[in-house]
Amino acid sequence: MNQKKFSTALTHAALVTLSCLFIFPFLWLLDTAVKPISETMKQPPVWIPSKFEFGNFWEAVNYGSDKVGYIPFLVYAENTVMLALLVVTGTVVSNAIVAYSFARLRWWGRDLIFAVTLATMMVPFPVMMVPTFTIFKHLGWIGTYRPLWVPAWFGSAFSIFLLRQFFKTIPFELSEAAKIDGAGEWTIFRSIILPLSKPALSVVALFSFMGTWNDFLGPLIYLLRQETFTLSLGLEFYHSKAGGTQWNLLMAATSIVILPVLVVFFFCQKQFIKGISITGIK
Amino acid sequence: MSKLSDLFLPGLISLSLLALVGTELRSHPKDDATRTHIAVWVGWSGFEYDTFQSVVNDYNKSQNKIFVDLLSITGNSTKTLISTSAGVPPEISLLSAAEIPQFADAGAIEVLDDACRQRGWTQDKYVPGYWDVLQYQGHTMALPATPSTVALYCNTDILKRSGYDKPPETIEEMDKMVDKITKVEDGKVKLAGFLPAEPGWWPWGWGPYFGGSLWDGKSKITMNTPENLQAMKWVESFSKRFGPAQIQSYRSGFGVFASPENAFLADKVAMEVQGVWMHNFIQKYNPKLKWVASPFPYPKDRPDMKGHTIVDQDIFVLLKNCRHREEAIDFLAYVQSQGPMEKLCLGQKKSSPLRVKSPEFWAKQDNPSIRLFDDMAYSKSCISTPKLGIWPEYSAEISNALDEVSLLQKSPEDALKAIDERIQPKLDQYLNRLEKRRTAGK
Repeated sequence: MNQKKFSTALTHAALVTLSCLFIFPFLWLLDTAVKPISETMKQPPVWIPSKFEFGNFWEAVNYGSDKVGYIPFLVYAENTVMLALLVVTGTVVSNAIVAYSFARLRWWGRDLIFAVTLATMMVPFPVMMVPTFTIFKHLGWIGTYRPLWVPAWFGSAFSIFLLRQFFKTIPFELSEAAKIDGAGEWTIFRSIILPLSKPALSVVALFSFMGTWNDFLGPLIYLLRQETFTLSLGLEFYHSKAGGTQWNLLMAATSIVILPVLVVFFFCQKQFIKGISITGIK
Repeated sequence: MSKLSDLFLPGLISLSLLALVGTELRSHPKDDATRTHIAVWVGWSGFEYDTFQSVVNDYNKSQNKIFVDLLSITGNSTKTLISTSAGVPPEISLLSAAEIPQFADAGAIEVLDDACRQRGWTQDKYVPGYWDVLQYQGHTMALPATPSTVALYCNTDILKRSGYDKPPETIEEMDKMVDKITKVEDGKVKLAGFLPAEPGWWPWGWGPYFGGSLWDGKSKITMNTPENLQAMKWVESFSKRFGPAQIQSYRSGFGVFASPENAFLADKVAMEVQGVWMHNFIQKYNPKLKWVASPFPYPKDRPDMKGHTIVDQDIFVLLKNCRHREEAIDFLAYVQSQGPMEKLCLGQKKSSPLRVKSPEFWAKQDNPSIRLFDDMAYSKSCISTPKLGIWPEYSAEISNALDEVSLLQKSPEDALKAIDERIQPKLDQYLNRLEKRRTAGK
C-alpha cells in the first residue's frame, strides 16, 4: 500500500515538474506583459515586477493610436475571427465528407487515391508557394482573403486521415441498420456518423482554428492592404528595426491574441482529448 | 440539449456566411477611382513607418492624380520576390542595398538610368558612399531611402576609468586599450574592452577594415590576401588573449539586443561597432549612458583609411512589369526632393543621402553624432557588401570561418583558404550563369 502511495506521489511529482516546465513560457509571457519596459529583458531576470503595469494591455490594444501609422488591433482581431470562422467551417464540412467516402464507401481506386492524398502532406509549403500564388493571381484573388480560406473547403490530407481513422472505428452495423430502414448515404453521414464523431471533429476544428489564428506566412504573401491584416501580422508592428521592441506591449498583445485559443481549448478539452486518444494521434 | 447541438452546424454556416460577406467587403474597399493607385511596400514599422506614412500623406495631398497605397509588412523582400515572380509586383518596394544583386539578377527590378537622367538624380546630388551602393553592373538600380553608416561606439565612463579620454585612432591603439579595459578574474571575463563577435552583424567587414577586399570586382574571390589574413589573426587574438571558452561564457550572459541588457548598454562591453540607430536604443534603454562615436580605427600603416565606414542603406526599387511605372517615378521624384527626404530621414533619426541639407535638418537632429555618420559616407574608403548574387552564401561562409577561428578550431590561414576554395567555384558558376543569361538576352 505504502509502495503504491509512493509510486503515485512520484508520478504526481514528475507530472507537476513537467507541467511547470511547459507552463513556464506562458507564465513568462504574462509576467512580461505587466512589467515596465526597463525590466522586461533584465539579466538575471526580474520575476516580480517592481510595479505591475496592467495598463500595458490597454496600451497594446491602442498602440500608437495617436500616430499616423497606428496598429488597428481590433480591426486585425475582427479579420482573424472572420477568417478563422470560414476556415474552420470549411475544414470540418469538407474533410468530413471526403473522409466518410474514404472510410465507409467502397469505390474503385479508393485506397490508391487515399495514398495520393496522404502523399500531398510530403510536399513542403515553400515548394508550392509560387505556383499556388500564380494560380490565385490568375483567379484575381491576390489581395483578398480567398486564398486563405477557399482551400480549406477542398480538404486537407491530415484532417482527412484523422477523420477517416475515426469513422472506421464506428461499427458498420449502424450504417447497415440505417440502410435497412431506408436511409441513404447522406442521411447516414449526417444523422449517424457526424453526431458520433464529435471528438474527432473537435480535434479537426481546433487544429484548423489554431492554424489559422497563428498563420503568418499565408496572410503575409496574399494580403495587400494594411486594414486586411490578421493579428499574427499585426504583432510585428510592436517591433521596429531601428527603434527596438516594446517587449511588454508585444507580450500583452500576444496574451490577448492567444486568449481565444486557450478559451476554445478549455471548452473543448474533453472532446479534444477523447478525439486525440481515439484517433491515435498521440 | 440535442436541439442546441442540432443548431450548431446551421449556426456555424450562418456565421461563416456573415464572415464571407465581411471579408469580401473588407478586401474590396471603394477606392478613389479618379486617381491612379500605386502600391509601395516597406518593411518599416514603429516610428519609421509613422514617418514614411506622413511623407506619403503629404504626397497624396499634394496632387490629385496619383494615390500611394502604402503597405508596411515584415518580410517585405520575400513578399516582393514572390509577387514579382507571379507577375503582380507592387510599383515600389523598400529593400536593403545588399539585396540589389539578387533582385537585379532575377530581372525583378528596373534599371533607373533613364529616369535618373531625366530627373537629375546624379552622383552630384547624393553623398558618394550612398550613391555608390545603388550601382550594379554599371547601372543605377535603386534610389536612396534612408542611409546608414557604422562607427565605433565607446562607453566614455569605462574608458575614463581605464585612463582614456578619447576613442582609439588606430587598431594598434585599440588593442592596447582592450587589454587595459578587459577585466578577467578567476579565469572569468568580468568586463570586455571590445569583442569582434559583439554584435557580430558585419563579420565580413573585418578584412576591409584592414584594407582587404572580398573579391576583385571581376571574377576572383580574394579572401586569401595579407590584409584579410591580418584581420583574421586580429579576430583570433581575442580568443588567444582571453580564452575562447571564457569569451563564450561571458557572451552567454548578454541580453537581447533591443533591451536594457544589450551588452553595450549594460556596461558589459566598452566599445562596439554599431550603426547610426544605436542612439535610439541608448535613449530608450539606458539614457544615462555616456558615450561617444568615432570611425572604426584604421591600421597604423594605413593612414589613408582614416574615417572609413561600412555603408548600408534602405533603398527604393522600381519593380519590373509594375502597372504604373511613370506614376511610381513621380512619387520617387517627390521623395528624392530635399523637403520630403529630410522629413523622412529626420523622422527616422538618420542623416539624409542628399548632399544639400538645410540648417533646420541639422538643428532638429537629436543624435549628437549625426554629422559624424554623415561625414563618414564621404570617405574614400567606404565599405559595402560585394555586389554579387551569391553574397548570402559567401557571407555565411565568412561567418562560419570566423566562428572556427574564434574558437581556435582552425588557423586563420586555413580558414581563409577554405573560404576561397568553397566560394570560388560558386562564383564561377554564378558568373557563367549571368553570362549565359546576357547572351540569351541579346
